[in-house]
Amino acid sequence: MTLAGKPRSEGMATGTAPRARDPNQPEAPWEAPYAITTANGYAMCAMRHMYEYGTTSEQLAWVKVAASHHARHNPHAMLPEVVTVEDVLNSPLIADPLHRLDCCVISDGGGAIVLVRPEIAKKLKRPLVRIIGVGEAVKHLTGGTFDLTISGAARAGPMAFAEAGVTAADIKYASIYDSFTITVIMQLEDLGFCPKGAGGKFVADGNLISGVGKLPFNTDGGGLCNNHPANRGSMTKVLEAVRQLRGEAHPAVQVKNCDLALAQGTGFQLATRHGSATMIMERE
Amino acid sequence: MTIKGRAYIAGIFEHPARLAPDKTVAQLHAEVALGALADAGLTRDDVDGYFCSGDAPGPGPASMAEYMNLKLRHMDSTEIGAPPTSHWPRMPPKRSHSASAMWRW
Repeated sequence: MTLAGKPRSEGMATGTAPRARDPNQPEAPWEAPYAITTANGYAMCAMRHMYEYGTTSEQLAWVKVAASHHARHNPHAMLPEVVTVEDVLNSPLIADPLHRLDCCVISDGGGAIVLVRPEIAKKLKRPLVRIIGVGEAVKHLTGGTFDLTISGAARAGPMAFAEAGVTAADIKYASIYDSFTITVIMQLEDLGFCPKGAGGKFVADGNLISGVGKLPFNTDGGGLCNNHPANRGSMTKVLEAVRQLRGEAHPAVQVKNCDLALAQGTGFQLATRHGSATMIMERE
Repeated sequence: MTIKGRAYIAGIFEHPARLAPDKTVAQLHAEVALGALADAGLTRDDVDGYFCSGDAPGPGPASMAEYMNLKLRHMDSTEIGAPPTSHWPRMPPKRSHSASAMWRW
């Protein structure tokens, strides 16, 4: 199973230029004229989250700060420098309230995983990492009755947890798709790592930093600091979760006794319609 | 039917490049595929399935299957913005959901 692309060398302005969409998409007549950019849509979610729950720019920034603390140990990371909350707040505003450092990188690259049946896995000389739960959902506008602060993880997450027979409290490491800092906060809430609206408080003060906080996340630096090949974060989220379960993450960020990990993604546009998938993996 | 315990992730590979103007997209896909197989201790000849999403060039998995000279029994491609399991082999639904018209976000 492969993922790869090179938007960086192709000069793509992934988040800040309107993208050409299929004019046959049924929503096109209502949305295309407004030429929403990716950053616009995610900023709208962030603004609504601030309005509803009092989330602050400082809390959003903590997501990036945590990612940067992990990225400094990754020799391949595009942005390996540790940043502070002030650095994020002082970076240029891209789409209010999102600053440049609230946005993920644009990178080339890719990743792949090999899936095998149990009997083959047991013949190979690699640590045994098995999938124990998956969930998928599409969040859309439900005819106009929708909440900008909820992601598809609110549907996909419970399906995956039910299949795996575990809860968010059992998860030792989480890879959370991080196109923007707000993306992480919304998905953490929707997966049940904290109550809805409490994501800002949950991520503050280094709670996502491995060895410091309660929920180590994106220990490769994630999309915010490491890479975002083909404008996607799905594959790399699974890769770092597998490294953690194998005990092959960088020693500085390796979670002790990591036997249960989750990878969570959303794809397309958080503010309108997107796919969402949750996968729970276990070290056997 | 459930995926629980039925599939193992035996190999992983992340491309080290962050800027690759000298490589084609197909090359990047092939390099990560070979990297993940090597990590698993497998070879291309062991492969009987290939899955991708819209970032793989060509119609579904067809062009990449040819480019990598794979002999496949199972293949698929989906495109929904690529969250982690979006190009997963589909399993039959194992539980029924309440009427979708009742869903409110």
